[in-house]
Parts: sequence; structure tokens; C-alpha cells
Amino acid sequence: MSGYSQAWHSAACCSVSRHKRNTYIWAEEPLRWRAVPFLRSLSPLHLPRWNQATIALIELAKEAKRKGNLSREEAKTLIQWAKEYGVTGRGPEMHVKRIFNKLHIHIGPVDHINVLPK
Amino acid sequence: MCCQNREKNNIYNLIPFAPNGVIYKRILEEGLKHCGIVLLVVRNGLNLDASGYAILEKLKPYQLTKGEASEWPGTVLFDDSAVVYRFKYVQAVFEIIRDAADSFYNWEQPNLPEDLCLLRSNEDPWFVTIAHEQDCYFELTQTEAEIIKSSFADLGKLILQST
Repeated sequence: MSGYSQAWHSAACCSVSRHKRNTYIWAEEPLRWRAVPFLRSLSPLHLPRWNQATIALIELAKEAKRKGNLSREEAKTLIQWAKEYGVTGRGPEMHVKRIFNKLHIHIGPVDHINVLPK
Repeated sequence: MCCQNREKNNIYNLIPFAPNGVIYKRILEEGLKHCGIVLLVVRNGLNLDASGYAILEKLKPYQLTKGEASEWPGTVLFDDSAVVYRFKYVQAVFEIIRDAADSFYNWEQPNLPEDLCLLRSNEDPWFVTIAHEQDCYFELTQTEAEIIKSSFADLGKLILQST
């Protein structure tokens, strides 16, 4: 595991534990809110089942989008994790003649995460 | 010499950002007059459902080429490749494509192969889609754009030259 991957892995673990804390708060919410994950699990759509790993991955993707300085290696790692967790991952790619003409990736609902060319 | 005289293709955006229903069918129909090839892409890292494979199977008799590529009209991939299919764009293929979806943006995995593009017989793009970006555009010469705008009022008023 590279240095970057190690750092990301520990970041993912932090996100997981943060999510775990949130689930305790969530359990105190009204029943209609607690029904959401159950209904989602029954959905015929191709939504991934949002377990802790996928939530951590999405958090990392959001963080990467905010920072905007993802390297090609880091982008590949995120895409690989997306494949492993059943989240839609695309790229690195660019659309030359269009508005999205910078190198970017998509991870689940997080679009246009900029990737440094080199 | 002939290439120097060739008119340059310009980009024309489509005004309604969801080219579905009548507009979808109208563009496919108009494409029959200008295009000889339809291009579809299957991304390696994404699933393709049985419905997607069924369409590829239906289109197989009209297949011209199938190959790995990291570039096709509208998209350039880095560190990855996809399977790019080219089919002969004839009436039967038009009907299969028309009936398979109701919008160009429906051509996205896992349901269907992606990025349906209509290409001229010399492989120059005529209509390009990037389904996951919900983006599409024409590549037309000024003469072609004028012909479409004047002859086909319904389609002509929907396209606008990119600045």
C-alpha cells in the first residue's frame, strides 16, 4: 500500500467511525426516517447498498473535489475502490470540446473531481 | 487540395438540454440522411445489463467494427479503455435505436451501451452525446446548419452555434 493509499485508508476509517456515531443519533429519529434505508434496499434501481465503506468512499470523493488536486494515482485508487464497492466510477477522462474539458473523475453522486494532468 | 476547400465543422448546441421524445426521434431520422455510421461504447469498469447486451445482439448484423479504444467523439479516457462499436446506420438500425430508448441520455450503462454518436461515412461526427454528462451537440458545417434551420423548422430552431 502506497503512502497516499495508507493516508486515505486512515481517512476512510475516520469517516466510518464518524458515520457510526451518526447512526446512533439516527436511531432516535422518527420511524419514517429510519424507514429510508430499508426502502432503499428494496429499490429496483441500480443503487449501491450504502454501507459504511461506500459512505466513506463518497466522503473521500467529496473531500477530493473540494481540494481539487487529486493525482492520477489517487484517482486510480478511488476508481478501483468504487469498482470494489459497487459504486459507479468513471475516468480519469476529459471532454475536449465541451465545458468539462479538464481531466476529471466521477465517483457515485460526486461529479467532476479534478485530476492533475501529471 | 480538396481538403483545403472543405468547410470547417462548427459545434452547435441543442437548446433543450434533454433531447427526448419527438426531438430524439427527429434527430435520429435526420441523421439517416447525413450519416453512415452509429457509434456505441461499453465502458470496461461498468456493468451492462441483459437489456444492453440484447441491443448489441440485435445490432450485430450491421456491425462494422468492434475494438478497444480510449478516445471517441466527445470523450478521451486516461489510464483506461472501452469497447467501441461501430454499426452501419441504415433504416433497420434507426428503428432498433429509436425503439430502444426515449432519449439520448438513456444510452448509459448499465441499461444500455453509452454515448450514442452519429458519424458521417468518413467517420467525422455529425451528432455527439456524452450521456453521463447529460450533454450533446452537433458538428455541422455552416451550410449544413443553414439547411437544417431553413428546411426543418422544428429541429432548426433548437440548435444554436457554440460561441
